Amino acid sequence: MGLYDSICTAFLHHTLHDARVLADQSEVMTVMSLPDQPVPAKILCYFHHLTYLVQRANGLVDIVPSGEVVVGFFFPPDYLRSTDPTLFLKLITLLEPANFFHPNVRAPYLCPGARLYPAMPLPELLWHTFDILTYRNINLDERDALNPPACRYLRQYPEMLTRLHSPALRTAPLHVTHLDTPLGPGRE
Amino acid sequence: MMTPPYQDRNLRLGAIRFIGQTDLLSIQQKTIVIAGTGTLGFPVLEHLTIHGAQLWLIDRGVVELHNLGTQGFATSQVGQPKVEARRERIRQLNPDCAVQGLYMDIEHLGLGALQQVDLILSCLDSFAARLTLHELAWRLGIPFVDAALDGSGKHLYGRVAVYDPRQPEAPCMLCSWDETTYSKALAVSGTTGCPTWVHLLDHPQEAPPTLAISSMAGVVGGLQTIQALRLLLGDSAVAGRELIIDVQHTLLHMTICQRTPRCRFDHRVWALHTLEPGTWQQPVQALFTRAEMDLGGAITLHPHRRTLATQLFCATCQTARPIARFAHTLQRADCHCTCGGLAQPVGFACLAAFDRRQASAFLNTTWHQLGLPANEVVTASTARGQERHYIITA
Repeated sequence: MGLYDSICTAFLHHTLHDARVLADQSEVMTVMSLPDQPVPAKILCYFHHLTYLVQRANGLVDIVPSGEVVVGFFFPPDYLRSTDPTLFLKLITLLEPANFFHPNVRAPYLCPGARLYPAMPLPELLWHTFDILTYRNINLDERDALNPPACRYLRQYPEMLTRLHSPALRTAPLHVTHLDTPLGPGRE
Repeated sequence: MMTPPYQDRNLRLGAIRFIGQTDLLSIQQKTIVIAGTGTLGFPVLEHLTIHGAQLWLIDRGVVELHNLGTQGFATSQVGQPKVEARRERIRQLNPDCAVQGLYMDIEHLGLGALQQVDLILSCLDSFAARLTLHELAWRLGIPFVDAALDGSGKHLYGRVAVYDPRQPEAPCMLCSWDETTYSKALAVSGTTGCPTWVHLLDHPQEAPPTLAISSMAGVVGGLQTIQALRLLLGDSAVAGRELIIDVQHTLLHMTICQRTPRCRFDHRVWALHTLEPGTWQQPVQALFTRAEMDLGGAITLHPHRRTLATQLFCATCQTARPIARFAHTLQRADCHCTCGGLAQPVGFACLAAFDRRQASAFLNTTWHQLGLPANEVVTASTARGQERHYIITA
């Protein structure tokens, strides 16, 4: 930890490559690494043409029929073997829009649920995030959700969910490099 | 010079062929860390006290009533830090035994603090703490004996494993871990639902209670002590061996582990450079200057195991506040927002490493003020791949 070791660096390069392959197949996603970084530890993902809810400053909830959502991913140096319960809080940050209205989102925090595991490849993270941003994965139990008002709203207006599902434009199987494939210098 | 009581005390111990008088002296000059002084740590520290080794005890726990049935504390010790209670016991058993107690979380221990240690014994009940200690031991090149008890209360199982980073191609603890083990380790750490960062500050990681009887701990702790003594006496054959003890079926299995190229750990032992005392109270800028002199070129600093929060964000009023603090040191009081909400670190704004430009906001802040533990290691690296590991000395 601390220093990005050769194994983690190789993993990040591989997983960024896989994410770009996925993004190239999709019309709803653009993936880029932040410049000036020795390792691609900070990744920006732009999700386009999403239908989502926003809460205005006056408290009213509006539907955005086709908008853009920006999510940042930060991979800490111990990502491959982390047991840190705050891992997902560090990992995924909703950058825009700040008023995104969702039970699992309280911008800039986004809870992907308990499915996260160390060394989860970026394409899988993107799918989990996409499932949340498109309201396929929602937690309607406000005792355990980041945004309880959104839970109440969606329970009150369940028909809204049918309007919110954006199409998933995946045309090919998900391709990811898992750690079962040896990584690191001299291991490929 | 041996005092007569010393000679009397060790007369029979020195006659044991496995140890011998000369080796006994060498054991007594070694410094051994025992992390975790509960159910398993109890027999281990008693055995090593009898041998007269110099002990460092690390435990963040306090003696509680429910510890009395399994961990060998006296009723009068309830409420005391466990390390203090154990020190009393050690002084009674062997006044010649030098003992130091560190009443703290392993996570808050600086890597450099363990630099002079000869052996590390893990008697911990938490996956996360064990993983941290394993990495500390490996980076320092210190042999590590890990032991565990089945704490489910359903079986009489135990495990003792020896890892020796001094040996080339020796396996580490993570060499035998697969994806399921990592997921289990994260799940045990308590990641369920949508906890907030502040919630986790209020409720630090707690391992589930160890439901094991003290006699089982005696069996496993005894084996752990023997493996530790063998290591100290130079028996290199124990490295990479894992013993599984199944007392219920009277079975003892041994597994010989091998290093795997699929391991997620890079197995590097670090050569540490100790900086002059007081560096901890110096600004970050001073280390940049020092590293630039030592390595040349533009420097990036990587604090070991720490991420630096540079922004706290209040989701209630949607305002951000700049901060420069290592995330693990944040307290609830640091996170209060003027609107009454709670501001938390923003993951994407955290820094695992920083160059001069990224550190411009906290160049004149001391490492102490940033929340770095004393004697922690900060690695300086250059774009050419040179690196140096500095101990930020208190």
